[in-house]
Amino acid sequence: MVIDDDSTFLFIFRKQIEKFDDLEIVNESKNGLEAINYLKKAMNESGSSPDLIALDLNMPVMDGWDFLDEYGKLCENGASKVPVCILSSTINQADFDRANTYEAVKSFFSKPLTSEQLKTMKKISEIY
Amino acid sequence: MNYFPKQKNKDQDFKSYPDRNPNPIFTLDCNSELVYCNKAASGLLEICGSHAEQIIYPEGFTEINALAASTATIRKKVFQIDDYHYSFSFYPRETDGLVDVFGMDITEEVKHQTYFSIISSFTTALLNAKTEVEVARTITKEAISKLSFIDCVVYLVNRQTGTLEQKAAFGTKNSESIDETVHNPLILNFNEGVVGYAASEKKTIIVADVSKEKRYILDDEHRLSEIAVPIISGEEVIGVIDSEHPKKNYYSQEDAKILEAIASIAATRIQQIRAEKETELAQAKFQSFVENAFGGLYIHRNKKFEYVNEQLCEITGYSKAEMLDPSFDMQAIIVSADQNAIRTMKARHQGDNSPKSYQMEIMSKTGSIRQLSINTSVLTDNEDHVTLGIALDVTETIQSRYQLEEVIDALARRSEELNEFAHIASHNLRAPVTNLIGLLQHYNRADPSDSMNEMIMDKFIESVDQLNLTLEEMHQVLKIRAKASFDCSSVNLNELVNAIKIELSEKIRVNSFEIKTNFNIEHINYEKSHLKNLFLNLISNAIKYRREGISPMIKISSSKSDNQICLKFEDNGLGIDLAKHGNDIFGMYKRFHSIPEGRGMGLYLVKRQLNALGGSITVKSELNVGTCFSVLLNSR
Repeated sequence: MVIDDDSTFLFIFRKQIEKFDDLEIVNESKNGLEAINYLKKAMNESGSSPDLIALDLNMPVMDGWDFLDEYGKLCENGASKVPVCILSSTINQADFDRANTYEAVKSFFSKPLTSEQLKTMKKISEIY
Repeated sequence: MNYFPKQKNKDQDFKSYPDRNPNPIFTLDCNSELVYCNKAASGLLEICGSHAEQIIYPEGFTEINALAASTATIRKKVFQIDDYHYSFSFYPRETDGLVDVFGMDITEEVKHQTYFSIISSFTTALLNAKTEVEVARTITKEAISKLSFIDCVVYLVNRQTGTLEQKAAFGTKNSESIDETVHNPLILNFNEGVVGYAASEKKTIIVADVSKEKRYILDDEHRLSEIAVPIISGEEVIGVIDSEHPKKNYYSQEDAKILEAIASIAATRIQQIRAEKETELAQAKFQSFVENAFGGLYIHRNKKFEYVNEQLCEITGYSKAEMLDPSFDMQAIIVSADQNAIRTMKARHQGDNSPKSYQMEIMSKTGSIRQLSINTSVLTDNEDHVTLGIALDVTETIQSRYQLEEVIDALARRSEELNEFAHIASHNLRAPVTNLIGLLQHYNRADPSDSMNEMIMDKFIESVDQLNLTLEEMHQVLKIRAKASFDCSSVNLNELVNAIKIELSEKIRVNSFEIKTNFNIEHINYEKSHLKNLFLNLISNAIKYRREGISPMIKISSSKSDNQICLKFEDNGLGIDLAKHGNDIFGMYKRFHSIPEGRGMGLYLVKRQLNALGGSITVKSELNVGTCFSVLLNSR
């Protein structure tokens, strides 16, 4: 699943995913709150969860950091731990450092996203 | 009983006695004619005629006949003959009417008496001598002139050159001087002449015959004998008293003694004068130091100023006379004092006299407030407590410190803002750029007619617009920061709202939005573009974040509060969860609603613009009730 409010980025992301036969976007959320709601709903209705979460940081309503906090609470309440990869246009070291403090965050990718980075994300989803 | 021994050759021995007696003895008859005189008397009196019936009395013997004729039992009289003094006793005989006269040489006694009176009047006169030269003159005038010397010169040592200089004289050396100065004063080195010799040897030198003395230096007239007595204080030779006489062998040990006594008394007085001068000099130095001290100095006794220096007068603006006036009330000019001042008062009350320091503010005579840093200590003088204080004017120091702190604060704030700005700006510039790179990768160059290309191109334009908008916003922000002065003009709030109504007319119409105004203050003197941006942002936010299902509206009011103008914008919209977002609401690129129009820039700019002109904005809000922004402005 992908969490980002930038429609252009989503458009590009979709195009990149299309090149991989074995990859599929199960959900697109515009912000952290939409994503939490989706994850709760999916867990309750089908007990399923995405294999990987691609997360942007700068979003309205609930940003990436707040999502990570909320998601942490969700996991404590029994949600399956999905690996999170951060996809952001930030190049601020403080953001990298902060991301490292979250157990769920497995990798940090700066935009623009390359096919190589997508392959790495795929590997991460297979390991966890 | 006879106690006297028998004498041999009685007649012979006895007759020679009167002539061997050094004292004059003579006998006068009732006509004062000389009947008998011994050898000493004949030497004294000029006897005329072989039988000495007539005598010529030397000068001074004026009363002798009268005394001889007197019928008093015993008569006594002192006569001076030349340099000698004689005491004569008259004894009338009852048998034949003759008068026996017994003289006695009392020259020495008289001399001693003279010395005594000279010393005593000299000592008294010396008290009036205020300088070393005056001492020298007193020596010649009050002492030596009363001795039977022909001349005398007093030399004093010049402490700079180490030479002996003639400072006072009597006799030929200044016979015509009116102002007591010495003509052609002789200057001698130590060991030069008899005077120099006396000085270097530190002892009295008597020269009986100068013609045999190789050290002799001729001053004004040729003399035959000389005496030089050094004036010594402790180990130091201060000067020399010098006298010369045309006779050989003139000066006796007695003369040496009296001159040494005079020299020693004079030395004591010179020592005293030097000490007084040094004290005066030290006092003058101290006075000058105290008067010109960098700080204000004062002595305070029994709640009154006993002393203040010039500097303190300059600080307070009051004159010395005003401050030293017993009615001057120091408390009245104190504006405030710090905690240390109060602690010092307490400590003084408890008898703590140690040095203390504190700060206080005073109002000077001219009405300016001065910050003083005070250091005080207390001396106990009998029952009185005397406060010694140093007051430093630290007004400028404190002011510049405050200014410096303000500058540092402003710089720190500015640096923090710029940091934040740089981070956010780089992120928001990077986002559209990364999208552009991503889009380019998917553009089908091989087949330009690919239907996908058109969609990519639309997205491309969208990203470029976004990039342009971000750059424009940054320019806005930087403009506020960079602008040093603003153009303020009178703004009519009703006109301003009407203009915005026209600008937003489409949105207002579609949403049936209502704008209510209540302007107690209608005209504000302010930077118009800022004011317009404020109204436009808050009104369009109220429309953007309206609540569905109710008639959306905003109430705008203005009022005066102290020296500021208060503007209120109250809507009935969605509201904001301030508990969650309170800190971020005015932040750059902060958005709280997923409404696509919001860019998180409007309130940030509004706040920056208000801050730039010393204003402020605060917010109160409740979810699903509404939001109220309060703005405080400094009307220009």
